[in-house]
Amino acid sequence: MNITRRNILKLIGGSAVGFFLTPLPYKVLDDSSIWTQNWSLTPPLPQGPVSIKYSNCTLCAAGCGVKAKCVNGIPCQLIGIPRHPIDNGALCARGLAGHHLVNHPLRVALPQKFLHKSPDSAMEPISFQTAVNEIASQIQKSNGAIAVFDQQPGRITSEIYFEFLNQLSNGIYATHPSREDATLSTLHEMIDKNNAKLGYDFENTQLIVSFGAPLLDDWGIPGRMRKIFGKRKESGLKLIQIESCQSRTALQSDVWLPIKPDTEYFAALAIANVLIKENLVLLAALRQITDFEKLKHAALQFTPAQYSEITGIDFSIIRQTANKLAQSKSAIVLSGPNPGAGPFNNETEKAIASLNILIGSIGTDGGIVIRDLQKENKNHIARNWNAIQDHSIEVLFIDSVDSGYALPWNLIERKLQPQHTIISLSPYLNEIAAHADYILPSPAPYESLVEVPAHVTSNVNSFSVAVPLFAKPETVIEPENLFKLITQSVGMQLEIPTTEEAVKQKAEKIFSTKRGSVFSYSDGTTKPVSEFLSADDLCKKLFEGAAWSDKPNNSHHPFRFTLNIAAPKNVPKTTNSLVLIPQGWKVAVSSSSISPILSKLFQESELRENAGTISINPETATRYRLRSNDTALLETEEGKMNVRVKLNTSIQPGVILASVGPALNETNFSDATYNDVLSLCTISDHGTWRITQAKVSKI
Amino acid sequence: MHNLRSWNVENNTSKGLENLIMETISEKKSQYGMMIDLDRCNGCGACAVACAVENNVPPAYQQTNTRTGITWMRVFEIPNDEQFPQSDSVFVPMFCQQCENETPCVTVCPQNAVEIDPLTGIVGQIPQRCLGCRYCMAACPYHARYFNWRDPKWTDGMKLQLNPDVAPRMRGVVEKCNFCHGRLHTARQKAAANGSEKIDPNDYVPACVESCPNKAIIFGDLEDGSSEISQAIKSKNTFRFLSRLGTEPKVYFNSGRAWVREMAEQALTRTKKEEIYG
Repeated sequence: MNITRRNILKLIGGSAVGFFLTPLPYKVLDDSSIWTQNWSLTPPLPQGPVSIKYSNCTLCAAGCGVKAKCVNGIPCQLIGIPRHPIDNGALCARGLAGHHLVNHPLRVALPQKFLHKSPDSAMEPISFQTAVNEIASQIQKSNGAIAVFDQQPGRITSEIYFEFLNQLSNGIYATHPSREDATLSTLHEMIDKNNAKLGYDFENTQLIVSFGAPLLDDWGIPGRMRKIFGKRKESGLKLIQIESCQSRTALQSDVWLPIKPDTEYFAALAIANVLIKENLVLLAALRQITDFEKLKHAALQFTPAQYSEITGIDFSIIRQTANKLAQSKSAIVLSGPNPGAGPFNNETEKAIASLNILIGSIGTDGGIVIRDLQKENKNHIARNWNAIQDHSIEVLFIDSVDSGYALPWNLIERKLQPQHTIISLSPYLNEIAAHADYILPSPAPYESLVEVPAHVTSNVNSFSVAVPLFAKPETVIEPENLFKLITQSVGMQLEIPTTEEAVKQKAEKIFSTKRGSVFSYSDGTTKPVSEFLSADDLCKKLFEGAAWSDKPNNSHHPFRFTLNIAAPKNVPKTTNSLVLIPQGWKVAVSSSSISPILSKLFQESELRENAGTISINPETATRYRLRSNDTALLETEEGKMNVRVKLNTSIQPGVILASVGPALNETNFSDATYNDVLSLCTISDHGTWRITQAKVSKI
Repeated sequence: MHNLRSWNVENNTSKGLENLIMETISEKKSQYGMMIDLDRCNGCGACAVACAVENNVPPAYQQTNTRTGITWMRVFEIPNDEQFPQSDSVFVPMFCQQCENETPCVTVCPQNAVEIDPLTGIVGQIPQRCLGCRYCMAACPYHARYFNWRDPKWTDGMKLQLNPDVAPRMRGVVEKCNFCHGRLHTARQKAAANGSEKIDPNDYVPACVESCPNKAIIFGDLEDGSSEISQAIKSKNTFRFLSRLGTEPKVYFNSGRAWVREMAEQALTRTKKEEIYG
């Protein structure tokens, strides 16, 4: 047989066609999924006995109950406690991943000393004893003030700080102005006898008028708020949200009043104007106010037309709001800033708080009730950070507990002497700790015993204990032990109780009153305190996982109020420039305070915005020739930075909402991608940074 | 599904083996489904975080973005296209809609890596079979499938905190919501240990349902007429996304707002114009 070139070509062609009729290519395709497998690069799963532990979340002051599923004793999943009497069994998104914080990439494993003063300067490890000796030496030779900045006063650790500073001639125990309890603490200052702890009786109220408080975005005790609003169809509760942005709370409110930015003071005065002019103020309330004429003068200073122009709200709507407040069976007026935007100034807070007095909601069911009447607490002596003289602090300790609200470094810096020493007790290298001279890491959440007192907004007293779920590393130190070492080194005498002792004392106190009941986390049962055999029995139950809650106080204490409201001096000028408003989400205002898994909400979806993002109205964007996802230059008097632009029709034209949130995962402070919008904000004399004039341009 | 239960040998002695009757019984079929009340959802993201923790979905790399991220449960904020202050928006948790009919991802998969469990109606993904061709991602009308562009990465400590019931997936495979299949297995084992074939509904609750602080998600057996979800989906405000495609998804939504219900028939992807102008 003669083999021709044609035969060879036919063979090749036939083989090629036939190859695809055999199973071989399909098998190759099939097997390639096996050959390319790289399962060895996926981590092995933990193996071991599965157990359940109970504790309380300490990421914010709400202190929600937690059930932890553990493998080999290490928590791998957290969930709320069903039917919990205080938090209703709900955990927020950050709390659900709170167990990751012990292994956070920004965790500081060892005590560190910064080599020079700069957030991106190098650090070197230092022993606790060396650091304590150096700090003690600074304290002894200090001419300026020695301060502790505690963002969550009222704890056992806070008492230790106070006692320590009390022994120094130049000690200042400072705290930041309240945020979630801003209205309550303002009322507290207005009351003649300030021994009453106030709380909101949301459960029985019919109307809430909120000046920007993110009530439905994890404000206060998130589970409590969600339960109350979840039942509003049945209870008839109405919410009027007065806010310049269409926040999550504004979206779910019954009425949203979109006021112009930073005109809340005038909106509150406008409501007071209607209440006074139309004789809607309760006579009993009038008798309680010592300086009603001052309020009247302030409220009547402007005409309805002027109020409408200033606030951007038609006066008829303000009038309706005031009438609803006066006619409602029970009502609460409260303020609360967005967690990124800082507090209102004092005058605004007073104007908002005084509305509660005018409608007679203090001490009434469904209003602002007395949670507790007690003796003067030493922690009330804590000084407002803003009231401290500028450039007066030489040695500053910054407590590890985060309030969950943004804190610009500029606010801290302005109180420091040029030559200062900062000691951060944070377990993480966060925005504030990065400016410290020493980081002496405290235990991370769930690594130490922490007491959980009642939340500042709560209407009943409660107490529970966050027992540790992890073993504490040897390289961290509890603040009480650190201060024990410092007092020894300075040569002071100070009796410092352990948290365990303090919890036992608290349990004894609860047992002696026989008030309230204890909810057990493990079986969901409730037992009256009177049925416990001893204080030890009660204490044991608290350590096993339980929450004590008191009965409502129900006492009607006669108060007198001095409002001390000043009449507005100037009407805010309308400008054509853009207004920068920082916006954040409670606790998630920094990369270090949330689990990296929260990238599911920030980086991997558009639910929340990472740091370095601004949102503007498309109309504003057109004016400045910006488009979605453009990189723009954001400029203020304080500085400038590059930002990513996002368009949102729900934002007021002329407003820039700048995200105060975590940076992208794996971003370090020294990375160019890290941007801190708070450094661009103008901080007023009141210590507020709510609005800043800004410019934006396309790069 | 028909299972061999027993051999009926009644009267077979006289008539021989030809009369041997094989009796089969029909095992009760479930159709697990969900309903989300969009008027209760405030976009807190607890469901997305609980889902990631339960199913060992890794955190993002620095380079990860909204297109390359893995979010079995992703919450979208959808505006009503009105201008401020008439604007309104709704938060829509979007995940595998568990299509019952002509399930697109099943039909396109060349590897049989996607299967529907006939006993539960759950569309399952088998990563060991997945080739990584991503046809299923292209076919899914809900964009509810995610590709592992990188090896999963946790810090050393976080590796010890993984859920022991769910295997992490490798680079190069697709993954998606499976109604927390690990929890279904656990519930089945518990039922079996108690001598029951039927699982207790309280034992099988997906992580997103368990964690939702607003109680906006209802989960249960659609075949069980007495279940809460069966009753809930009868509401006139109940709808399904892209129902016009006829894939019969088993995830329902509810909203009293007409514009939200109308929006459900629009594609969730943004148009080019929307990308640019918002």
